[in-house]
Amino acid sequence: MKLQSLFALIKLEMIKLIRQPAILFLNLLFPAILTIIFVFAFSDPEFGMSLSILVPGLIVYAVIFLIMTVAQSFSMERQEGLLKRLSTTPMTSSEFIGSRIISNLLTAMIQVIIVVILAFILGFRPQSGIAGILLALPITALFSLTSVGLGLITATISKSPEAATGISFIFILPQMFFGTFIPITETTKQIAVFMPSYYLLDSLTLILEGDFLNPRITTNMGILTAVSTAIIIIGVYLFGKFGKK
Amino acid sequence: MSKAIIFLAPGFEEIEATTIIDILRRGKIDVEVIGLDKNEVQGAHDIKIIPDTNIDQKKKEDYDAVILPGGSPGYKNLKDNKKVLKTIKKAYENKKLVGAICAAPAVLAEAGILKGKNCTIFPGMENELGEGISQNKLIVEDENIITSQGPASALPFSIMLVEKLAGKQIAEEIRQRTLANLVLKQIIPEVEIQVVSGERIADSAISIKNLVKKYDEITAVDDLNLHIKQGELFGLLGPNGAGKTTTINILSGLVAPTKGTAIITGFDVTKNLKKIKSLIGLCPQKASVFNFLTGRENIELFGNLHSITKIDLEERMSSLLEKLGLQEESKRQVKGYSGGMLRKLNLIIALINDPKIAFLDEPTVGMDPRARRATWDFIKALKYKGKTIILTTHYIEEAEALSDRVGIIDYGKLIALGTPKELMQKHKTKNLEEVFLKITGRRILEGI
Repeated sequence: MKLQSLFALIKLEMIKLIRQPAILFLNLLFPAILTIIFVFAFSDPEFGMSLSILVPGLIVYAVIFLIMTVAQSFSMERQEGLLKRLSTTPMTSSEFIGSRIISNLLTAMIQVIIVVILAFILGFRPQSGIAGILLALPITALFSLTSVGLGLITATISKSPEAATGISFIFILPQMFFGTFIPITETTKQIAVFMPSYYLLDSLTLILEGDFLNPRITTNMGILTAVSTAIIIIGVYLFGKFGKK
Repeated sequence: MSKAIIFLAPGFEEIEATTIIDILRRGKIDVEVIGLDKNEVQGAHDIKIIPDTNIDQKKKEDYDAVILPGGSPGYKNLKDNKKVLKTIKKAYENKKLVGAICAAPAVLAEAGILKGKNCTIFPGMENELGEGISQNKLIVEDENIITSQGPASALPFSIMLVEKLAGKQIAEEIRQRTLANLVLKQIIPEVEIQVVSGERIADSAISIKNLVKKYDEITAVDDLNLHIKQGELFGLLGPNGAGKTTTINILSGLVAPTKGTAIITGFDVTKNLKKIKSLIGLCPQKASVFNFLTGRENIELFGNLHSITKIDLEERMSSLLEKLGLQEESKRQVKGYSGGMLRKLNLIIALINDPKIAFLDEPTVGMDPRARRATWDFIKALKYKGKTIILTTHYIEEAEALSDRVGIIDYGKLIALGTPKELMQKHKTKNLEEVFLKITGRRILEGI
């Protein structure tokens, strides 16, 4: 893997994040707006939802939407002939996919920072202090692998960027309802355990509450690592085999 | 009398060095041995040679060849010496003969003269050839560079140098007197087959044999056979859907052929794709660029993917932008570009890696007549620089004005091949467009 190529591709993705209005909105402005609205709308004690539940949910919510931007991005590049053009260079598949994974890890971490800072301004004071926030960064980054993998699967089965937007909701909606800030009951938990986002949410909630030593965190991380690895491998394989055409 | 200089660095391979010096002197070639050490230079097997002069004392004078013996650490010492590298580069640029044996071709790579050249090196050291095209042959000649695997090939390598510097007759006389043929036939029976003539390998930039590409029931390329010479500007014409773009896509590794072979500068497109990608530049029909980047950022991206150094990238980018008149606009984001500007940027990206072979698929579509003429001049200049160019175009006058030879394909088959003049004479027409109409029975723009 050549670092020069890898860095060039990561730079491309980071410039895209800033200069493409749709991606900038979905990845950075959307979590910010949601944080402000949700904190105002649902953190009222009468509503029964505390910030310590809302904030982890908002972080997960933001990262889930990476599925859509990843899928749109790949579909757009395929449609515009950019994937073909890139593949006429000596760039390797590992450099290409590696750059997408790294740039999305960075984006996920930026999302955590945005949500936490805004929530802090609006009164959120995590029990964990700064240590919990720092721990939340790598854990969320790990989960972003799932979003990249699902984004690749979405791009593989989508014929256009527009289709990718629609199809990505197949993966976004279940995780949104069963693994963010929407309360999970004993009944819905039976479905939630199949959602990767559920394990991130549970871990983030425990971490931000300062319960670092809870054994559930280790279990959750194990499950997330296994699921993320499997999904990213499937995504890369499917996209490599069927998604470039 | 021809003159050759031979560099001897500490750790040189004695057999190679003495064989070359001996055979060249028998060929009445004035050989000057230049040492990198003061006084005597010690070889890899502790044999010491007193050179004629020292590199620091060497006066500037003309010579016809620069020869490097191998040996380790001799070749590393040569690689580390800036004066040696400078002399090699200058000799190569001035079309002098440059020869290297055993590990020494690595020094040529370090001097930056092997890019896209067919060459060889001591087996197992192929990764030291940089951007050179490694051939598993005893001796390889490409233009003015001769490389050899050594040490067993020191004799034929030396005789080949004599042939280049003093002529065939003298080389043959030495061959007879040294019994080189007899020795070589005993040691390496197939040496004469393995010695690759530069003309044979280097002459054919692209070699397509029985190429077929099928998409389900549709045959896009149908048993295509074609040889394109190095440095040739080849026009590939055909009506829409004739198979031009598919052929280019196969040659640039984007599409795998169903059957047949396509060889680019000695490499099979199905087996050596990574190497081929570093040697080619593709200017696709659709200007595929990132519209949220500036023109410069797009060029930098593709330059970095080709692992071009920052200095080289800046130099090439400035030169190409200037030649195509895109300097000012290149600072703006691409989304505001006109069609003609996009085509120019598309072309620059294809050429940023200084490719040996450039595939230009409809490079002037969407350009106004003035910009088109300027691009024609630019393409002609590329040809004069020795690039092999494969041009597909819907503008027949463009093909007629630029191409050395033209190939017309229809329904995936090559139906005409020759210089524009030859084709016009053969078909008794006044211009190439009439030839096209006559043999395809259709207008080139049909179906657009």
